[in-house]
This record gives sequence, structure tokens and C-alpha cells, in this order.
Amino acid sequence: MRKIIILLLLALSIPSFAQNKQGEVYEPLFTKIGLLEKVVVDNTSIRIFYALNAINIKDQESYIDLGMLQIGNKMSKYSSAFLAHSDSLLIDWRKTHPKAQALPSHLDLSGREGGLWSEYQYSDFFVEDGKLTEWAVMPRFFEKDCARYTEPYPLMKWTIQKESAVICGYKCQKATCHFRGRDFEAWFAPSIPIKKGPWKFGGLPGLILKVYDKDHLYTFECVRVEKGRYPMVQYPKKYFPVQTRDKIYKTQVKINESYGEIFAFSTNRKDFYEYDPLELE
Amino acid sequence: MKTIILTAVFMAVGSLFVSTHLSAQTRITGMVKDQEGKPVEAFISVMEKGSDMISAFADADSKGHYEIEYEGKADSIVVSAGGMSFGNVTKMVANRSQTLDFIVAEEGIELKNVSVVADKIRQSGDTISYLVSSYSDQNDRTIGEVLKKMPGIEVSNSGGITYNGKSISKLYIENMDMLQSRYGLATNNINANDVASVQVLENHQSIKTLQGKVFSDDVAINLKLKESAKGTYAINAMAGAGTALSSRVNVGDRGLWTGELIGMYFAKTRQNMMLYGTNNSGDDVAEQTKSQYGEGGSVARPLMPMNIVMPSTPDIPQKRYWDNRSHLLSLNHLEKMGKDTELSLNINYIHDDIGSVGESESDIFVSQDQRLKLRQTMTAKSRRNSLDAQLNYMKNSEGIYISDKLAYQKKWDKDLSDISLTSNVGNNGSHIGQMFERPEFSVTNRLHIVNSIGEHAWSVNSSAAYAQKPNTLDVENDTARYVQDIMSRCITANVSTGYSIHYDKFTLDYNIVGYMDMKNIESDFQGMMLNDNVNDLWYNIYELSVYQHYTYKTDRWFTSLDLPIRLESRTLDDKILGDSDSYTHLFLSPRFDLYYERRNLTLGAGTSYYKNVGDYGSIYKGYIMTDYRTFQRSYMDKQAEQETMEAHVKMTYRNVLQSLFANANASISRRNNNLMYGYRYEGVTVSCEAIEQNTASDVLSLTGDISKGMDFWHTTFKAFANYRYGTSEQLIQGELFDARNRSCSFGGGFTITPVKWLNVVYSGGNSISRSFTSGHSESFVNVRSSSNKIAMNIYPTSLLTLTASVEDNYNNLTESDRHSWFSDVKMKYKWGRADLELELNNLFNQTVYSRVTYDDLDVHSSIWQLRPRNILMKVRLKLK
Repeated sequence: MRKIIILLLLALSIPSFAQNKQGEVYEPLFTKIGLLEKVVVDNTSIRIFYALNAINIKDQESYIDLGMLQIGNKMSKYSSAFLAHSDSLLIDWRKTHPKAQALPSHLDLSGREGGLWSEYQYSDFFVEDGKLTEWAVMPRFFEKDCARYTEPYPLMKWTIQKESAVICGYKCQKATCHFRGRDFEAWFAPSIPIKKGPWKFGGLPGLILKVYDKDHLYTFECVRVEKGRYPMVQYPKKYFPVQTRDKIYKTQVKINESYGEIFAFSTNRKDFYEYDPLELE
Repeated sequence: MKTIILTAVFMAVGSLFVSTHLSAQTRITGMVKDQEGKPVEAFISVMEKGSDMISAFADADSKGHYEIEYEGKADSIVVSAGGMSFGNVTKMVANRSQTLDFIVAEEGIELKNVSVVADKIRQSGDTISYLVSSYSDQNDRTIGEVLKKMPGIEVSNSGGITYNGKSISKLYIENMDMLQSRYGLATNNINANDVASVQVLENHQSIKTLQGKVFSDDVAINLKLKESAKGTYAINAMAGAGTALSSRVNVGDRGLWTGELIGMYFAKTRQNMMLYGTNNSGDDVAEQTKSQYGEGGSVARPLMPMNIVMPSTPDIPQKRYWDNRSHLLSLNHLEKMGKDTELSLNINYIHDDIGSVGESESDIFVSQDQRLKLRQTMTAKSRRNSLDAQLNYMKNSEGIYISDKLAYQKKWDKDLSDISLTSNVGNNGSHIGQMFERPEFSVTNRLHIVNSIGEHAWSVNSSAAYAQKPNTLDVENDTARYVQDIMSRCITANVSTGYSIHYDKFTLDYNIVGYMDMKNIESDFQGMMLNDNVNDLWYNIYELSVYQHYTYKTDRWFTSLDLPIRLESRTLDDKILGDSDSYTHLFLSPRFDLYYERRNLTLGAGTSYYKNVGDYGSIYKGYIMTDYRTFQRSYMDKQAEQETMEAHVKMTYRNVLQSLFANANASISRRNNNLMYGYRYEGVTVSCEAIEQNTASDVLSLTGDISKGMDFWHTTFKAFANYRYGTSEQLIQGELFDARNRSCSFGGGFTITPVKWLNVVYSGGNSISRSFTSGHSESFVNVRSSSNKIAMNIYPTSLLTLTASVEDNYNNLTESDRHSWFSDVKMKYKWGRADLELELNNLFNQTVYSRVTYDDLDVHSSIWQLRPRNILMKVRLKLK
């Protein structure tokens, strides 16, 4: 009997694959995070796109996000392609409606749960001279808490495995690491000599085309590699004061866990959500 | 000894292992440079010959130097240098430690373009909306329940919606505004399953021709329906029955009923919604048809200086005391006449029979050593009949906006109230019967036109209204009968036009408003030999105002200045005396506000001044019976003048990381009047007259609240405190008293959620207040009251919700029933297509509720009879 109960408990505790955005948190207002004042900081020659938590890898609408790694001359940037598309429409819309004070929050935003904020979609990551800077965009009502921090890059200590697979048309080799409380498996392409990857991942002798944690809560998988020249843009620094990683991390966790609860102050809501962050510490 | 041996063995084995290890390790060092000999950013990897698996890798340093170790037995190894600027360069060498340099040519990396996704990101689309994907789960019956789950959105019982504390300006269904301001019908009745998505439209400019030109901070909501819900008639029904569970039923019927039938139809060019609701269980069926926002423009308000004395309304939920038999019929229809034109009609009819039973004790200050004590026991019956209809026409195109709303309202209300009066000046159970017939009728038209001229817009807003009240108050006591007839009429009109200019951080708004308000009152009092018992007069106001509103806004500072200039003329034409007077005044009423915002902190300060001349209370030369024991005549040759000055500061602090939120406000205000109202008591009868005397009153108010959230059990604590101190002057029996009032309230509460299926909410508050005259504070009592409530929400399964609450209300003055204990239990269960609701109300069978308040120097205590313990079961079904 006890075994049955344990089995049942285990069955209940198996995490769901390809989970949704965590928390139920609103996207920020673009005017409050300086979207219109973004500046070009570099030029890109290569773009690599990653599906985040795809249900069907062939259907963009089933992704939580489409991430975009831009390889520039001086630096690289990982950010959301869905947002970049919406942002470009917003900027065009702003040009055609210069006097409008009524503003859309997004335009033609793809993916599952568009309109909800997640730090894994809204943060931008820049890597330059062995340092990674996260530009943390905060959600609606907390735009003033936007901030950035810098840490050494890459921080992952990889162990190379003798397993291979073909991902997105490239032959890849497996590597594993333990990073901030979770165990990850990554697949990198030795034939692409770029030591980078999606989000904060990097440091392998080849581009990381797929990476996920052992619980499969978060999966980044390459869906497109393309060459071409594009400008690389960055938010204006004045909206993103420098803070410690610890403070920014705690703010993100807090917002995800208790966005509804935080509003209990003004609205008497008492909602809260279970939250499983990618970084546990 | 044992330890030494063990250590020796370990060391021996260890050195053996190290030496074997060293024997298989190959160390390769070298440089990676470009053709000019400059170091290149690169990394080195090693593979065994014949394998395509990397065995080891290392980076070249900033000088181009690298060092890599390989552990393996292969004869030959492949060493590669990789880098973004040159791609991959490989060399095959023998497996032995050596130096190996790479000279690489900059040619970029070779990359094949690949994609597993066929379609590109969809292009274009210019929906300027805040699309929110479905938040509903299977338990949500109405769209209101889904809206409640969206962050920042609150839905009141009547269906009113606020978004981040701000009331929404419109509720559209498929972009059509059928229900106008009475949109609670939609929130409370549209099925959640019929709605595909909810769009929150922030900064919503509803007038198309102003879109992109004039700022609006309005928020609107649009309900987008599923295709399956369009073009078909949906019918929902609710029926319920219950009974009082007490041997004595003082309030309400023993058998309880409730029911609702709703029909809805939504198509491309036609929308319809009909509702019939009825109950005798204390629910306000008309609540969902109440107007959620003001329509603007002028409202005709005829003067009515008389009233019936009947039990007042206690400050507890209506369901506990309301003795009703209610019926509501609501018909709403919309026709889309063209792309931009809509015509809609809303009709609501309400019929109510209401009973109330209560008792009031008044302790009235007459002089330093004399008080009038009155006890009134009241039984009242009211019949309410009201019909209102509104016809709306709207053309909303890119070039022009025209909206016309014609509203008609008719009421046939009648109140009967019996009073048994006991006083310390000779009444001992005297019986007084009152009948108040108060029909009224009004018609209002509101017209709004906006026309775009290039980049700018010009608008006219006008409204006109007529209303009349032919009312009669009939009072009968043991010895006499008095009848007061009043015919009151009002005609009002308003026209305004405005223009705004934006320049960088400045905004300048100008509005010109013309306003007219004509009031006629004919009164006739019969039953007492009084010389002056009739009035027939017109009191008219004509105003021309220029509103100026200036704002300056930067990232941190916000300032605004209002400078309205108002030219006002008042005429009083007394037909009885053949007397007519007119007065003209010019007023400036400035207001200034300043805000500073920095991250977590917002500071604000402001001040305003307002002056008004004229007062409806001081125009009657003939006596009017305002209630059964008050006769008023208050004509003054001099116009009443009133000046109000106010200043305030406020602070808001918000720290998300620590979940700490705090507000503090302080304000002072002074009001100067040139007239005073004096009261004279003869027995229980009071007469009120205005006299010429300057008087001032001051108020100091301090408020603060704080809330702190904690991770443990998702706990939130809240606390509040308020303090108010006011001084004024009172004229009683010809003597002047300075009246002071001090009140203080404080309290707090918490919410805890120890497990996901349980939520506990506690709130409590205390208040102490006292009025007194200077030097005699000891003869006035302190009024203390407190309330404590604890509620629990339990969700044992996703289909069942249980709510239980217990509350206590206390006051320190009534002779009995100082504590009122209430408890309710509610259960909701989702059963297939039906929703079942079981309510157990007033479990402790509390039959009275009492409350004590100060009104200037007088103390009033009231006792109300309540509905006894009762049970009610409801079933809700979607019929079609």
C-alpha cells in the first residue's frame, strides 16, 4: 500500500514538459523602459534563433519565446526575436502616430502567452570581453525597477561526453554541467566555431544548439541559423542602473511569485503562483 | 601503528596511479596568430584520429598562446584551432607532447543557412490593444469571474470594473457599446465560455477622430466572443428557494425566493440582452443595472426641502436588514446602422416593496445644562416604482464624432412611517403617522460633437434637462394633522467647448462653459395657524466659466495648475412678495498640485481655494415643514457667502522586493461663512433660522496606512490609523457655542495562505470619537466602537468552494445589544452544467444591530431589526 502511495506521489511530482510562462505577470509599457531611445552598439553578421519550451518545434505559436543570438564584431547579444519584431512595429507605429499619447503595449506578438512577462523573454544578455551583462527588463508597474548587472562569462564548467546527435542540420556533441542549482545537458556543434549559446550558456568548443535542464523545465533548441548584416541595439543606460546580481535576481523571483499578492495592497487580490526559476541561487 | 600502515598503502597506490596517469598525458602548446603575426581570439580542441568527438579543449590567451592536455592512447590526434574570425583550421600530429603553432587567415566562418521553421514571423497587424489570453478555468461561469483573475483588475458586486484602481470608461462587446454605463449586466451574466478573449485597451481614446491626437488615460475593456457564441440566442436561468430558521421573523418573509432569467444575442450588426430578476431574500436585484460611471453634463435636481423620518440605513451588508420583494426587468438592444453608426436603447423597470423596523435615540445638546432626549420607534413601508429609458445615437468616424443620448426617468415612490415618540419634555409614547408621496419625472438630452480640423480638434458638449417633483408630506398625530405640499421644478442646460495645446513637456487645456440652472418651488403648508405658510419663487443661476488647466511633466516632476474663472449671476424672484433680487459675482478658484517621484518614493503637495455665494437654504420666506418636527424659514436679504481653503501633503512608498507599501496624508482646511443657522427647541419641535454672523470652521486630518507582505505562508499584514480634529461654532437657543470634535480610528488585518486550498483573512478596527464645547469636555461622553471579522476560504477540490465568516461589532453606549455577532457560511459546487449555491446566513440568529454616532454636539444611537437565521439554495443553469 505504502509503495502505491509513494508511486502516486512520484507520479504527481513529475514536472510537466515544456511548461508555461511562470507567474502571471504583465509585460511592461515600452515608453517606460526606453524602447524608442535604443542605440546601435554593434553590427551583426550571424543570427541564431532558439525556440524556448516549444510544444511543436515546427510551430512558432507553440513557443514561449523565440530567442535570438546575434554575433557581432565586438560583442554578442541574446534577446527575444518575438519582442524585437513587436518592438520594430511599435517604433514604426510611433513614427506614423507622432502625437499619439495612447500607446499599444505590443504589436503582433507571437508565441504562447504573448503579453505576459517572463525574465527569460524580456531580459537582454550582452557578452563582451569575457563579461556577461544582463539588462533586466521588469514587468508592468515595475518598470522603474529595470536594472543591469555584469558577471564573468562563461561561468559553466562543462564535462564533454562522447555522445552525438544531429540538431538543426548540424552534427552536435553532448556536454553536461551543474550551474546555479540545476544540472544541464547541452548539445554543441564543433563545426561552428562560436563559443556561445542561448541565454547565459556558452564556453563549449562550438555553438550550443540545444540545452535543457535535467527536469526539462526549460529547453532552448535551435531552429534557424542565418548570415546577414543587422544592427545590434541596446536600451539606453539611464533606464537600467547598475545593481548587484543578487538584488536583481531576488526582484525577479519576488515578482514571479507574488505579482498578484503585491497588488493586494491596492486591489485586495491574493493570488500567488508556483514558480520554478531556471537559476535556483 | 595501523594508521601508519594504511597511510603508507594509500600513498603507494596513489603514486602508482599518478605515474600511470602521467604516462598517458600529452601536452601540446603553441600560438595562434594571423598572417601579420598578431594574436587571434581562438580556442583549440583535440580529437583522436578517425573520431569526430572532441576529447579536450582550451582557449588561447590574449597573446595567442595556448596549452592543451590530451589523455588517451591514440597514435595520432587531430588538433583544431577555431575562431569566429577564421573558422576551423585542423592539423593531424603524432600523440606526443609538442609545440604546434597555427597561422590563420581571416575569412569568416563558413555557415550553412538552415531553418526548421517553415514560416517567418507573421508580418504587420496594427491592433492597438492589450490582448490577454484566456485566464478562465472550468469553474468560471461569468466573464466577471475571469476578469477578477487578471492582475490589476477588480470587479465589484454590481459588475463595475477597475483596472489598477481606476474605473474603466467603457465596456464593449465585440467593439459595440450596447449597455453604456450600466455594463454590470454584461460582467455578471455573459458566459465565460462564450468569450474568446478579453482585450484591455489602455489609454483608450473612444472618439476615433481624436485617436492619435488627444491624450486619454482611460482604460476600456472589449469582450471578443467566440464564433460559436455569435448569432445565436443564449439563455441562462437561476432559481432558488429558502426559509427563515427562527421562530420569530421580524424582518422579511419566512419563505424566501430568488430567480433570474437572462437572454442574450450578439451578432455583427445587432445585439440584445434581456433580464428578469426577482427575490425577497435581501439581494439588490437592481444593483447590476446601476450606472457605473457618470454620463457627464448637467443633471436637473429640483429642490426638495422635506423628508420623512424613517429608519436610516445601517453600515452593514444590505442582505442582513433589507426586507424586500423586488422585481427587475431590463431590456437592452443595439443596432449597427452602418460602419460607424450605432443606435441603442436601454429600458429598466424596477418594482420594490420594502419594509424597515428600527429605533433611534437622540441626545440633543440644548444648553450647557439641558439636553433633549428623544426616543423614536419606527415602522416603515415603502413602495418603489421606477422606469428609466435611454436612447443612444452615435456616429464615430475618422472625420466626425456625434453622440446623442436621450434619457427619460419616471418614479412613483411612496413611503409610510409610523413613529412612537418618547421624550424627556413630555411625550410618552405619542403616535405620529407620516405619509410621503414623492413621484418624480425627468428628461435629459446630452449631445457631444467632435470635429477634426487637420491636426487639431474642436468639440462641443451640450446637455439640457427638465425635472419635476410634485411631492406631499402628510403628518398626523394624536391631536392634529399637517400637510405640506411642494411642487418643485428644475430646468438646466450646459454647453462647453474646449481646445488643448501640447508643447514638449507642457500641456495647456482651455474650456469655455456656459451653464444655466432655473429652479422653481411652490409650497403650501396646512394645519397650523402660521402667517407665512406659502412660497412661490424662482431661483436661477447663470454662469459663464473659462477653465484653464496647465501641466508640466518630466520624468520625476509633475506640476499642474488650474485657474478657472467663473462669472455668475443669481436671481431670486419671489412671486408672493412681488420681490426680485439679482446678484453678480466673479470668482477665481485656483488649485495647484506638485508631485515628485523617485524610484520607490512619491511625494506630493497641493493647495486650493474656492468661493461660493448663495445657498438654497436661505431663500424661503414662508415656513416649510421639512420633517414632522422641524419647521424652517430662512430668508436672508444678504446672500450666503462661503469660502473654502485647503492644503495637503502626501507620501507614497513602495518597495517591491520587501513587499512594503505605505501611504501617509495630512491636510488642513478652513471654511468661512457669513451666515449661521440657529436652532430653537420648543418641546420636541425645532425651528431653524439663518442669521447674519461670520463663522469659521477648521479641520485637521491625518491618515496613514502600511502593508507588508512576507514569503512565509504568503502572509500580508496591513495597518491603518486616522485622526481628525474639527472646530466649528453652533447657535442654539440664541447662545453661541464652540463645538469641537475629535475622532481617531485605527486597525489592521492580515491574510494568510498556509496551504493552497486554504486562505484566512482577518480585519479589525476601532474608533473613538467625542464632541465637546471648550471648558466643558467632561460632560460629553466618548463614543467607542470596534469591529472584528475573520473569514476563511476553503477550496477542497477544484469544483467546491466553501466560505465561512464570523464577525463582531461593538459599541460602548447602547443599553443592550452592545455586541452584534454575525456568522455566515456559503458553499458553491459545480455540478455538470449547473452551479449549486447554498447559503446559511446569520447563523447566530442576531436580530438587532446598534450603532452610535456624533453629529456636531448631539449623540444619536440607532437600533435596527435584522433578518433572522435563514437558509437559501440556488441553482444556475445555462439553458441554451
